[in-house]
Order: sequence, then structure tokens, then C-alpha cells
Amino acid sequence: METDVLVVGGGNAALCAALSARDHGARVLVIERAPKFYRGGNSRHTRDFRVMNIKGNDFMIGRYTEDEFVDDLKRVAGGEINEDLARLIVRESETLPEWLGKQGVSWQPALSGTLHLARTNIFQLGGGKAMMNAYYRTAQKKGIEVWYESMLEDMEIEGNEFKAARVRKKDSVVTVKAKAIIVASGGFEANREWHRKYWGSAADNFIIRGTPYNQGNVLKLLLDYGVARVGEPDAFHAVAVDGRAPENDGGIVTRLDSVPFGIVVNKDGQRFYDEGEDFWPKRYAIWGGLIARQPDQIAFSIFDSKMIGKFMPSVWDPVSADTIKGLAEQLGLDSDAVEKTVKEFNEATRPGTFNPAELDDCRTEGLKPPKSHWAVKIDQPPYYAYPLKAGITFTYLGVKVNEHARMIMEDGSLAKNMFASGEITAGNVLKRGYLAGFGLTLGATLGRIAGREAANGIRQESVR
Amino acid sequence: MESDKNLFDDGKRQMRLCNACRYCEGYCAVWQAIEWRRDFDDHDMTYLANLCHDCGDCYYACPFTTPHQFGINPPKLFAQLREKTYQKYTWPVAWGKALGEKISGFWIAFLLATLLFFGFIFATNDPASVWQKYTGEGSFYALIPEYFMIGVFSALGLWMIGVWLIGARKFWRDIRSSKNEKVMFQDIVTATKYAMSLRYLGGEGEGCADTDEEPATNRRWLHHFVGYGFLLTFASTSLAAFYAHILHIPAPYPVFHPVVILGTLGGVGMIIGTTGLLYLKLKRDPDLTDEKASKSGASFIMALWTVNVTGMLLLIFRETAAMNSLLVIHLGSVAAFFFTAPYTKFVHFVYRYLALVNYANEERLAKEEETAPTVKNKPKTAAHHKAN
Repeated sequence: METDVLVVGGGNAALCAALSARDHGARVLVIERAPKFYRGGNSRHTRDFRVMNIKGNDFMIGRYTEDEFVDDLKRVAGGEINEDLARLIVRESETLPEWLGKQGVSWQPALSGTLHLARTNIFQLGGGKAMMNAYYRTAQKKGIEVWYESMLEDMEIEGNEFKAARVRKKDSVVTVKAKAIIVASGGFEANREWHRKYWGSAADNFIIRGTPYNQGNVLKLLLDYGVARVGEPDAFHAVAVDGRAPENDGGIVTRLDSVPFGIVVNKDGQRFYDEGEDFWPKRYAIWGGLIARQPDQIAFSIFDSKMIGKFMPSVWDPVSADTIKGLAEQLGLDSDAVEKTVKEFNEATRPGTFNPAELDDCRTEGLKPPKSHWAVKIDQPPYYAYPLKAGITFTYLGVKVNEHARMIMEDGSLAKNMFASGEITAGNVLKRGYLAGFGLTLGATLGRIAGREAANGIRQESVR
Repeated sequence: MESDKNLFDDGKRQMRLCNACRYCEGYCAVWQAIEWRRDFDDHDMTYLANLCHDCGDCYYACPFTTPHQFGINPPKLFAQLREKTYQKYTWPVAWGKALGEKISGFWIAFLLATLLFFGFIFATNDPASVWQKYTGEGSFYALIPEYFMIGVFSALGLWMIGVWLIGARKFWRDIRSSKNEKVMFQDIVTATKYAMSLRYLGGEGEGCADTDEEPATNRRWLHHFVGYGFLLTFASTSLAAFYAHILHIPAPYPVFHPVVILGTLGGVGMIIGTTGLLYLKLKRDPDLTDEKASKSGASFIMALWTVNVTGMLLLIFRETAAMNSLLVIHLGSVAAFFFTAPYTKFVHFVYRYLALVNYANEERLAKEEETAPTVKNKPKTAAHHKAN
């Protein structure tokens, strides 16, 4: 099998790269490890792109400038970003809505559920899977070949030049010769074995929020072949999810919003962090890491019947009991410890006006850790609890690329015909933190660049 | 029934899951309506099921359909629930199953009605007269007197509308059971606009997933052919009544008469529409359809097709000796159609329209609340989507 551009991966970044390479005249083969139903990696679970928006469009409200976008990136990453690459992506993002529209993606007008991000983010109509369906339809129309259930097993690399790939396609092994390779196969977040290297047996208790197919096999190959590394090896982005979530692929629906409305205890019945530090959307991402560091990587959000109806309930029913003791027993916790924690919390609450819409004045005094807002006595039965676990979204470890999405080798030299985009390159811009909608934006912009550069490189080569 | 309870319970499970996701909110009214709710009862499920126009967009957009363990499938769920609606709210309930579920209900009614009309002719005329050729003014009434036809079809029409109204009343009471707000005239105007344009049969301008995930608009325009075709034939019939009883010009009317033109346009439109819809039904992805619902839907379309084809045949051959037989067959089909109408898929427009009125009402109230200066204790919680 021979092609011009081999794209490894099947999500947003991969398909943008494939479509861009095809639009620039290359023959393209996409190999996607997942079966057709699960195609698209974590892009299946996505919702929106963050884009610079000066001219305005039908789907966004207001303006979002380059500097503001870059500042937002700096803020979430604690100042530590690759500003040149960040600026490039931000500038490129401005034309994304139109370009992606041409690739078949439909947008959703700002509705009530998306209004608070309508200035900075553009939402796909129907979300990530609808977007992936559109990409694949367009790819088919444009003559891009797609192999499902096909994974990259090994590569033939001479110096800095990719020559061929060994691809396991269902039950057979095929050698694919290509003039360029674009890797957009994600991180290793679904690989428990890999997490175990850093986390030990704790890794067994993590929930993988997205695709089970992001095993990091291609990432490992590239690093083994001497491509330069970016990002902390053990770093991941994790949020608090309902403990009953499936091991993999639970996506957005495993989210839990109850934390600020009560207290959170660990397996020993002890509180361990300020549940009311800030609004939940600003804090849910740190709770994944907090829970990952608790015994058995589990925690319990406890609240009373006053709070029912104040937040969206979980998809799974809460555990409930008429007494705190009964609740603790049902949760398998030491009931004395939980009763003591609740009692101490109740005694520490100060009178105030409870208001979930603002950082209110209901707080604890003399309690460690404190609860800074929305601290209201837990005293009205029945009592409720949700188990919480750490849900991993993505990993930061990746391969180094330049502004042409070209891979950089460990010795600092440029790879000749090897490009990357998407999550596997995220560490080039953000080493920590996350900005809503930036993952897709990075994948689409770098993917578009990678496809163009790969195709143009091949053309120049053949002219020569 | 146990199976009904399971269906409703699974529906509530699915809607809770959908409400935690909300990625489909741009598609149609259903996904807006769930955002105004936190919990779902049986009446909510009935309402949502009838609000759904079965376009299928949400199914293809959903990452949680089977084989995913969540097993989300709103189009199939709603199709099953609509079947329950059509049976539960009709009257008498037992007839719903017998006459609405399968095409055989219509065929039997058709056969019996045709035989009765033939019987009437043979009883009141010389048998040989059936095969005679009648043309010109009043020829339709040569063997079956006009008063008899008017009597039979008025009774059937009243029957059809009467049973629809009984169902509508029961349905409306249920879906409004937890509401205190008044429905205003503007809600009815809004709902009528939604209904007449089939706004929600086609994912907000994107089109339906007619046969597979590719958005298309075929079902919408085919449905327009059927819906507006029906209205044209209705207009034709009303106009004919005006000519006959006010102007005293009896049928049949010449080919270029407004009555015939309206009827022909409507009939041809319905034949095109029903044929196309049947074809799309055959090609539809079986994953998102319910077999029972699909069958009862198809039998309604077949019945409508039969009425129109016999009508067009009558028009074409009305100058020949076959006219009487064709007239009897056509009348038989219309009678059977009217008689079974309260039990077939035909009722979908009653419940869907009422669901749209309820939706328009909810939508207006939600908008008023959003723009209201005072913050009320509203059920809708703040934005809940994850932004990846």
C-alpha cells in the first residue's frame, strides 16, 4: 500500500489534517484505531472551539481579540506558554468557523446553555460526534481513504525521514509507504498500565472520561524513535465525576455539580479541601487531582434535603438516609468519623444569606480546611451523598513541534516529513491548566497547517 | 402494564442522561423542553414523545447510542411512546389496537364499506344498472342518492372529529397536569407556524437524517406534499359543497373547474408524498425505528395512498362504464379512512400540534423569565455543558 500522506488517528486534528492535505492535492489515508462507531477519539465528546473573533459571525456574540485570547491562555497556564506558537494558533483560529463550515461542520446559534461562552467559543450543532460525522462524510466525498480498527504498530524511519508504517488492520498486517506522516492520535490517558508507572495501584481507580482507544502507543513509538518530548510525563487533566461512571467513555454526563452545596469527605470520613472556594465551573478541574490523592481515590459529596433542586442532579440517584450515621453506613464509611465531621462543620458555619448565584457570605470559622462560601448547616433529613472519583480527560505528555507542525527531534533537528497535531502536541502550548474549547482549536489549526505543509512538501520534493 | 412501566422508566433514565449532556439543544424543541425540566414524569414523557418529529438528527449526534452501555436512542424511544399515546388516548381504547396497529384494520374496513355500498346499489337499483355508463350532471348520484352520501360521510366525519377531540382533551389534560400558566393566543399562533412549516422535521434547517446520518430535507418536503395535498382536497370538497348546495350546480365538474383542479393537485401531491415517504421508510436505518410504530405509520400512509389512487382513477375513468364501480371503491376507501382515522397514525397531527402549543407556551414563558428583571427561583439551572 502506498499513499502520499498517512494520517494516524481519527479525531478532529486528524481529519482537519487529512482534509487540508487532500485540499492541497495529496492522496490521503487515515488510519483510525477505533471501530467506526467509536471513531473520532475524544473529539466525539467535545462541544466547542475557542476562536478569536473580530469581525463577528452569526453564532457568536461580541468580540474576542488576539491579545485577550493569548492572555487567557497565559492565565490558565500560570504564565508558562510558548507564546509564538500560541499566537499563531490564536490568529489561525479566526478563520476556523468558515473553514470548518466548508468542511461540513454546522454551528449552533448561542442558546441559553451556551450563552456564557458565546463571546469566545463557537459550538458545533449537535456536538462532537455530529462534527466527526460531518468530517468523515466530507472526507469520503473528497476521496480520502479511511481504515477503521487499524493501528500503527511500528514505523520505518531513516535519519529524520519517515519511510513506511506497519499497520495492523483488523487481523492482517499491512505495510503502508507514505511520503509524509501526520500523527494526531491523542495522548495516553486510557492506558492504565502507563498511569501505574507514576501512580501505582491508584491508577486502577481512575475513571477515563473519554475514548478507551487513546492508549499512547504512537506517542511511545515516536519518543522511542528520538522525537523530542514536551510536557510532564505524569501530568493529566482530571475532574471530579460521579463514582458510578463507567470506566471509560462516560463523557460529559458523568459530571457532578453537588460539591459546593455540601461537604466532601474522603474514605476516612475527613474533609480535605474547601468546597466553597469558588464557583464550581472554576473549580471542578482541580477536584480530579484532589481526589486522585485521597486514599483509594474516592470521596463523597454529602448534602441535605435543603439543597435538593438547587443543582442538576447526577444521572445516578444519590444514596440517601434519614440520619448521617445511616448515610455513612450505606457508603461503607466509619459512621462516627462522618458524624463528627458533619458536627464540626455545622458548628463552624456562620450565619449568612445563602445564594448560589454569587460568592455569598455563608462561610465557616475556625474550621480546617474552611468552606469559604455556601457553608450551610447539614441538618435537614433525609441526607444525601454522591460518590466521587477522579475522571481523567487528557494527558500533557507529547511530541515537540514547530510552527509548521513539523516534529522536532531530540537533537534539535527538524523531522523531514513527520508532522503532528492535536492532543499529542498540546504540551507545546500549555504545560498545565486548560482553557475551554482550546483543545479543538489547537487540533484544527495545527492539523490544517500540518496537512498543508505535508502536501506542499511532497509537491516540492516531486518538482525537485 | 409492566412493559409500559419499563418503557416509561427507561425513557426517564434516558432524558436524565440527555439533560446532563444537552449537546443536542440546537436540534429541536424536545431538547429545549428538557432543559426546562429537572425531573420527568409519565406525562412529560408523553409530551416529549409527541413533540419529537422523528427526524433522527439526535441519534446520529449521540455518542451514547448502543453499543455504548448507556444505550440512548431518543427516536426509537419516542416512536414507542407515541404508539402508546395513540392507543391510550383514543376512544374506545380497545379499538385502537384492532384498527390502528396494522394495515389489515384499514383493508377490512375498506372491504366492508365497499361491499356495503355495492349492497346498497344492488338493493336500490336494477343490478344491470351498475354496469351502465352515466355521464354529465348528477351522474355520481345516479345510483347512490346525494342525500345518502352526505348522510354517510357527515356521520363518519363527525365520528372522526369527535373521537379526535376526545383524545385531544385527555391528552391535553395530561400534558398540562402540572401547569398553571394560561395558554395565550400568541402561543397558538406560534405553534401553528411551527406545525405548518414542519420546523422540527429537519434539525433547524440542517435537514433530517432521512435514511442515514446525512442531513437531507426529503422527508420534510414529502410531508408537505401530503399535508398540503390533504388541505387542497379538503378545500376542493368544501368548494364542491358550496357549488352543489349554494349555487346548486351538482357534481361532477369539468376538468378545469376549481373543484377538480384543487382536488387533482391535492390528490397528485398526496400520491407523490405518500409514495416517497413509504420509500424513505423502507430505506430508514432500522436502529432508530420501532418496528410496531414503523408498521402503523406505514399502514396509515398506505391507506392515504389508496384513497388518493382510487380518487384519481375515478377522475380518469369517470366518463366510462367503470365509473360506478370506481366510485363505490373510492367511497369505500374514504369511508374506511374516516372510520379508522381516530386509531391510525393520522392522529399524530392532533397530539403533535397540542404538544407544539404546550411547547410554544413553555418557550414564551421561558423567554419572559430570561428577560424579566427579577430573578425568580427558576427550575433551569445555569449552563451545564462542559467546554472541551
